[in-house]
Amino acid sequence: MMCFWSGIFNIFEKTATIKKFSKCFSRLLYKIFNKEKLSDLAMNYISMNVATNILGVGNAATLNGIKAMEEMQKENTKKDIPSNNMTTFVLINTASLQLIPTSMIALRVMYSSVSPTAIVVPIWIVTFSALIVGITSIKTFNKKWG
Amino acid sequence: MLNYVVICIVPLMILVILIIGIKEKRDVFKLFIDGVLEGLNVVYKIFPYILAITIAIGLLKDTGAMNILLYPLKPFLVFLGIPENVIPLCIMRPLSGGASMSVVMDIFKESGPDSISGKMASVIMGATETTLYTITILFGAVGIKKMRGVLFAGLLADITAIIMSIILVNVGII
Repeated sequence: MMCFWSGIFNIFEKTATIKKFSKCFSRLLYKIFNKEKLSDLAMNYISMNVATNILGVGNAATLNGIKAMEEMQKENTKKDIPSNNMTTFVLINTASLQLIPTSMIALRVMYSSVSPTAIVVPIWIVTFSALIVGITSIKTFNKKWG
Repeated sequence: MLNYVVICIVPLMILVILIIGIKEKRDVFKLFIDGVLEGLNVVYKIFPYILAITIAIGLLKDTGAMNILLYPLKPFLVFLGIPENVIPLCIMRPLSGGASMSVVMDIFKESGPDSISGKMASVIMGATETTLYTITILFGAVGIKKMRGVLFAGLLADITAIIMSIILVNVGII
């Protein structure tokens, strides 16, 4: 499955649209990441990773995430210690950014819930607050370790 | 209605990518094949890490060692006001996606998806990610062994998610 996504996203990567796409995301992402230490290619992969996370395509997100990590590792000076951007990036991936929790809704339908989608907004609230706590704490750690 | 939207997202995304590729006159099929090969390389590289963590967690779970190790957490979770049958989910969620999914299914079967535990389980399951697995794969792929607080921050985010969902359910938003 991951190979399939790798194929699909390789097409997207080579088009000109990726630049526009990545630009849309970068405004927001540069608030979280350190701009100087991030190559354009890494930014492309991070944007694709975030987009696939939001859409809930787990396998594609993992793949783009790995490629983003590889790009960031190239910029990293100490190879066995992750850079600040890398820790932040991994943290974002451990928080679920998924906009529509597909599998959860499907499961609720399966167990004949009265309102399967009632959980969507609460999930947004919860995810968002968890993300804020996560990013704040990783930023604190990053500062502490320099 | 929303169900249809949900089902359509992934195929639509693939279609959009293909259309963009064709519109820009790229050799879509060749790019796809190259990408698949590249993906195979990535899978090859992270496979040992996936295997290691899957087996390690499987062993911990099936031998019951996990229950013993995580037993001290239980009073804390009870103190937070979590229903008894949601507690295993809170403990399992960062470790294993499959195992926590089966816990959710048990809860749904036992008390239904619209009960308090059902709602709480849905929100916790939907709002968090398999923290440990994600960290292992992403750091494993580039061969980094020091984590620098990522695990701690990730778990802190998970705890926040659990607390927030308890608050939301108790306040009556869901």
